[in-house]
Amino acid sequence: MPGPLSPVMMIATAGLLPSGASDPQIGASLDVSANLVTVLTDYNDLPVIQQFTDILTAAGGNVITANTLATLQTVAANTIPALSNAIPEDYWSDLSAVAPGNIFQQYDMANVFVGGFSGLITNMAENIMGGGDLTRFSQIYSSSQGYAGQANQFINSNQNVDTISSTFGPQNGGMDSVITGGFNQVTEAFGAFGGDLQKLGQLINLRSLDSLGSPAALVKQVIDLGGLIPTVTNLLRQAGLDSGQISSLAAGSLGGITDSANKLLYEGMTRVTGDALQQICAILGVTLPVGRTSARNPTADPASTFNTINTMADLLNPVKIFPNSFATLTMPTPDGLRAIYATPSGAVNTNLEKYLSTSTATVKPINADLINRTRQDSEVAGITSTGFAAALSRLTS
Amino acid sequence: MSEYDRLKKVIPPDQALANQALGRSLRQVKKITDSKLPAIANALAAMESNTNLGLVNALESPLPQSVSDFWANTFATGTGAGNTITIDDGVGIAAGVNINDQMPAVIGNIQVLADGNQLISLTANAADPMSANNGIYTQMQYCLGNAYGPAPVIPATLYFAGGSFANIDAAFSAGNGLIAAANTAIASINSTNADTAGNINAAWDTMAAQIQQNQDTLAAAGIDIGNVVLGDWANSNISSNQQSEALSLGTRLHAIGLDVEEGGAAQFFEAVANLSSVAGQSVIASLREARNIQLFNASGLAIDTQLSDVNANATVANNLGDAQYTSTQARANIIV
Repeated sequence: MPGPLSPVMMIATAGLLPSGASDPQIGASLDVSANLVTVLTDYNDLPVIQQFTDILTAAGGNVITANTLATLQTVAANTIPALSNAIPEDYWSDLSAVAPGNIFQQYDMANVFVGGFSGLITNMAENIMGGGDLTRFSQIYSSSQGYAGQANQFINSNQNVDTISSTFGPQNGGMDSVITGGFNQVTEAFGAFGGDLQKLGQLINLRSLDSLGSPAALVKQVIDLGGLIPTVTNLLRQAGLDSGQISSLAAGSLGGITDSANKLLYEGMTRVTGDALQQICAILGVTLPVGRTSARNPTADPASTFNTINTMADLLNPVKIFPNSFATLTMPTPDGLRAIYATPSGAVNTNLEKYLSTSTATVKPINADLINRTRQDSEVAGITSTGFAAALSRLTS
Repeated sequence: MSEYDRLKKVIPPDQALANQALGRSLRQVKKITDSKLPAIANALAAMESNTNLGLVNALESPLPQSVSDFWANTFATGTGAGNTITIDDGVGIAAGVNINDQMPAVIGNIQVLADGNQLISLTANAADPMSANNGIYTQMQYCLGNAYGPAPVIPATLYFAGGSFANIDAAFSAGNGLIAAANTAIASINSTNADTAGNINAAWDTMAAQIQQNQDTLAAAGIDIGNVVLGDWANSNISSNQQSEALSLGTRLHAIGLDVEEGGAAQFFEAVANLSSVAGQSVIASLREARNIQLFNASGLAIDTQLSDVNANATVANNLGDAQYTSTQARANIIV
């Protein structure tokens, strides 16, 4: 078993354990602050305080009644209590342990003066330090530290909730968004969606979600995971890419791919079937059922079903790759979450086009960057819920 | 032109729309770009939502104001950042927190009053019980010393009207007695020396507030330290000789050393370490050691204060067979 404690820790801890052992260090680690003792002594030694202490000491010998002695200890409590070592009157109720009328019981004084306000400080300090028993102090310290640690979690969380408030609202599903990390905005059918995702391996690069659906992005993902296999190289060449563009794509750049080349890529993908498709699915880790068509027998497999991947292009079709959950997918809009598919049969909800297309005149697209920041960054304190709603509102005008 | 506008020229428009909508949805997921699809898939398979929890779903803010107020008013009573609870809030008195700096101010200002003869109404002593120059505190001492008899006849002074009383207790407690006279005299000092008295009272109140803070925090932690009489721990929930807590505290010394915030643990233990003992000095050494280890770890270095595992070899099961080839054996296995 490791011995992770250093020598000084072992000496220090021995000094926390009960005293009485032959080693004078045992029980000697900690004590009331030496400076505290000094300043209290200095105060008690002031002539006016020493004189009043003498009065209290003399009065405590049954010369006056307990009530009068208690009253004597409140001299100047509401003017200058420091001139009689009194507890300030404003604190009598808060410091219930030392309130007048209760003072004898609390201190078990039996008419013996124990030191007034400075005595209270001494008593508190010595009690905290365990009264000479540092195992008691250990319990007090641990309890205090434990309480502080627990309470502070709630105190800080209560303040941090302002950050959550800045993005909280019906547009993103309220508390569901909080407890699901925003996944509720994708779907509420987590089991079905998760099950579909489990069959996709690494088909989707989560770092380039802007390019979701792009043939070039899919090719890039295949290259990243499996390199430039012949099937992919042929696809790229058939799409008209030259060696430089292919190298650029392999190096991670999608910028060099024109829309027309990208379309050619897609068309090429519709012809990738059979073994080549199996190979690509294997590279991506996709475990969806793959149709048994091939280049020699391009006829669609009659056994193919709704969710069978028949061509590489099917890997870009959400209906195909999310067969059990596509109908539950949603998108956040200024009006709240809206279905991506209008029907369970896979007809897309064309109402969403107004949020995504810049060519739609009536409604500007949601500022994706704004929405993205509200979820991706923790530093959203500057965006209030009102501001967020207003921003969304403006985007629809 | 948006990504969607471009994509719908590339793939079937309905698929382009669905993909871009899905991409937008996925981007709402916090930290999704730092994750991998398989990891998300596994997480989602077990993820839960607020289904069937209508009241939760109906919340218009993440925390109702009444709940927020409860936490703020009930627990956010400390002196740390955002009213968090500090070590000093619980046990700071023992380290002299708000005492060691305030009490000297009290002492200094009382000395100012004394040097300015502003306390003679209390402390003047003419060395004669019957003198009219004696202060009220001085007359109290004479009275308790029986200088004015068991039925005191106290002479008038510059500060006290004097009077005859049935007994010593009455001489103090009566409305025209010595306690009332002392209160009147100190009230006069207070009004005559407003600035100095104000300084004294401000410091005194700060100390009282610290006591209250400690008392309340410890009470909240389940320790009624305010009611503990020294040597009588019956009501404190604290028992003697709990060695496990002491050992636990000892093992946390390094963690304590790293809590260097104002009002934090390191500051407290520095104050209460008993420097007259090697044990107390070792407490401080442990705190410093922790900070050194942190520095060394951050710089990729090591510090030679962690004990090695001297029993490591003894705990190896010696009856296990060799599980690795030697270099000679490995070479012999290769077919040339």
